[in-house]
Amino acid sequence: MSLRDRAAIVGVGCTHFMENWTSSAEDMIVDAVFEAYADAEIEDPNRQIDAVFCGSLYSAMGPVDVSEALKLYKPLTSVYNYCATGTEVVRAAVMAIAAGAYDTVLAVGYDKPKDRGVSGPPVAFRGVRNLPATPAGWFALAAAPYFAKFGAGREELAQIAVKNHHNGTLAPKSFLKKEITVEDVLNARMIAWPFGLYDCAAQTDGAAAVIVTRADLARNHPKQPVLVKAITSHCSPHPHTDPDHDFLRWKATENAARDAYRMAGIDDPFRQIDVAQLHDCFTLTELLSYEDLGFIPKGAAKEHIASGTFTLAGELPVNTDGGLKSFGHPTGASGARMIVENTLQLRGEAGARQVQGAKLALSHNIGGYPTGCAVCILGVE
Amino acid sequence: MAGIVDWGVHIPAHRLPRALLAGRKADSGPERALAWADEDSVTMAVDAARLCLKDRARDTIDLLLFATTTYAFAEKQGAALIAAVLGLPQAVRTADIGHSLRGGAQALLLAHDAVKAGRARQALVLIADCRMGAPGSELERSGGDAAVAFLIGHDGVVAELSGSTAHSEELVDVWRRDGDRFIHQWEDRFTTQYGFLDPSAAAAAKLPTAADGAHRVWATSAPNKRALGSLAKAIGAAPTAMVPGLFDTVGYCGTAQAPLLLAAALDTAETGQELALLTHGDGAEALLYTVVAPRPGHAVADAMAQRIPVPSLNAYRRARGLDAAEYPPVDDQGISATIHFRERAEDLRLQGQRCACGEPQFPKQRVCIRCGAKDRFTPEDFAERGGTLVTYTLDSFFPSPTPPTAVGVVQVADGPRIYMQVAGLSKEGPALGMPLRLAFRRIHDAGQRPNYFWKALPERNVP
Repeated sequence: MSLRDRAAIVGVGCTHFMENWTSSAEDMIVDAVFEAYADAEIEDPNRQIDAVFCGSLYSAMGPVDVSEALKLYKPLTSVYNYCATGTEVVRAAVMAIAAGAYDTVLAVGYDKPKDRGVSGPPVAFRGVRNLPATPAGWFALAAAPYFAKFGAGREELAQIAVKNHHNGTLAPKSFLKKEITVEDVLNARMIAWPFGLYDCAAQTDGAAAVIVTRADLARNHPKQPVLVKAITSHCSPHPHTDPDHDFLRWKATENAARDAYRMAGIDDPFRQIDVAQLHDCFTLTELLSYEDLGFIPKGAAKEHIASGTFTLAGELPVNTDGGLKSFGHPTGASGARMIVENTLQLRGEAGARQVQGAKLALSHNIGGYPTGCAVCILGVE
Repeated sequence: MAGIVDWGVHIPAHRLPRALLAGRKADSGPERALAWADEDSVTMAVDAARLCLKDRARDTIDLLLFATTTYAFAEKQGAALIAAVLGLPQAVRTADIGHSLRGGAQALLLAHDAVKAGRARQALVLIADCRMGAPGSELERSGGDAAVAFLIGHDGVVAELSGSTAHSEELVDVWRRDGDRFIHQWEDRFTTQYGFLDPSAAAAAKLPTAADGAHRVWATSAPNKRALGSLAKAIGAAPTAMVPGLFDTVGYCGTAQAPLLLAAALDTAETGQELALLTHGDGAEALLYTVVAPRPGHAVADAMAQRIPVPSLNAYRRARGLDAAEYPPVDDQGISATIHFRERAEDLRLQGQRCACGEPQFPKQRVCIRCGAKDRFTPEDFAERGGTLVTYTLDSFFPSPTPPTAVGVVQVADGPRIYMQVAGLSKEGPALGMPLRLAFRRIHDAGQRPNYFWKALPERNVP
């Protein structure tokens, strides 16, 4: 069953992403959700919201966090797919509406990693033979083969970081509002080759909320309805044990994108899509995604980075709000935050970072080793 | 007649210049071999055993003895662990011999007795030690780490056992109490005279005199050059008859010291030569071998050839865990003994599986990644295969005495891909497609116990 045009986004909300020492996960959930209520002109959520979908990586008690914070005692579904969790929450919500189970639902992605007392992920052993969990190390494994085959290098990665830092300065709720240079990136301390500090997303706290309703009910809300054209998810074999992996791509993205374009009826994504939010947990992840999503051919990223294709003024602006890199990466919130940004872009509400006349917008999450990917395509008539 | 059939030596590649310990810059002067953070007596013994058993069947080994004074557990056998790593038949008899620096000679004699009595077709004797002196002490500077393996059997004997003597003594000369990390020693001249010289000479004196025309070579446990010279005088041997001690390159290796020198003597042995192994510790023990069919080798030279200079005193302290910490490490990091039990063949022998469709896989799973069939697998050990590096990163986030840590995906030859650490790299670092071998290493200490798994190392640099 295609999910195309079955559901519409009628309200969005997002907290300032930051190291939020003075507020709790519940505080942020309330801030994001009440902003979305206001956006959708929902005055009586207990009457107007039928169900809640939520996702978080670091909270062991997601359903309780959300229902207790909102005092919204509705059916609640907790969704988890590593760093793709934020998009998966919205996908579950859209599927429930398409199935006819509910008319209007609330989707919330959030995380509060900064209460753990560590910067970045926890380096802990999970088993006898396991290596410490270092996501930078996992995502870096595509670098040596890609660089060897296509000639790109740390300089190209640095330009992605510079671009996303610039875009972040234009987004009021972003974490890092600081222009950087290629030299800053290249001279930063190394995390996992080829990633230096500036090649890595900024882990922050944050929450984002999306109100989704049946497409035919969208006009009950004041804002221009944003239709869900496609929302898909895919898994791939673990790249560490996949006997065929070439480490020039992440297969999950290729698979999820193929399904999304089929669902949305897109045959030339580079020309048809006007703006995209890609999962830039590390600069190389964004680079590979340009190609894995079929925007450009495999190996062409170097020339497109040089010509500025994906900058705000380019042919296909990517990560208009700064992305995970500079808007911040509260893991479970990121996919929902991307859908918030694309909704603002499609409504023409994105302020200084507005992509003029945007009609079709894509967002992309990838998570795990990486093993799971979710893609969402939104559109306005 | 029972005797030594083969031997193998492991000397850790890391070498610590003594100048660094003395607070000076590293120089080309004396140095000691140092088991790195991912090595201990078990991993060193495994490596020596794999070299000793290279291209040999393992299913005729009926006895495995592990002699060491440095093993991580007071209760839990090292020999059983090593037998599992080596994939020996589960009917193998295993025992640890500890508490004394002459444990190596005792293990060898027990192995000879068992083979001679027909209680074992072949016996594997592994002797290893990591000498840890307290920071700043002479014992820290003079110590060394090494492991030696001997295969004892009837067939293909290079050196027959032709005599043995023992001399038991009680004194407090060198010791570690239960729980002590560092070696303690009484006053040096007392220790040398009564702990080493007198018992060694007593054990040597009881050996039969050299056969007519036979040249007797002595592999002894002398702790330093001067003591070696004193011993030669005490037993009436020519200085040239004493195997030199490797004191300035490897250091004094405790239980493994005399066995290491015996391996060196076997490498260059000649027919009719007599090799005397003389080890002290709470007395002394002497074993006399007659070389019957020499097989020139280079076990010690090969082991010496792997050399990585320790870059700094800080790196040494981190590798050995010598830095003070206010809080003890968390005792349980979710390392489950039941998961360890289920996965021990995978962890200890790098055992994966091959599907009926031909696809090799690691770790073991129920459904084939290639054909999708369920449970059509045959177990297969991959540790003895080499491989190549598919991709890598240098992870600075990863806990290590000398970050960054090379981590990569290894394509095992005719095997699966395995995600693992790459160790022992030279300054040039990793390279796509580089040939690799697999080594058993102490991978981390989560749960405050050693956890062992395999790492990939550059192909052995053999002179």
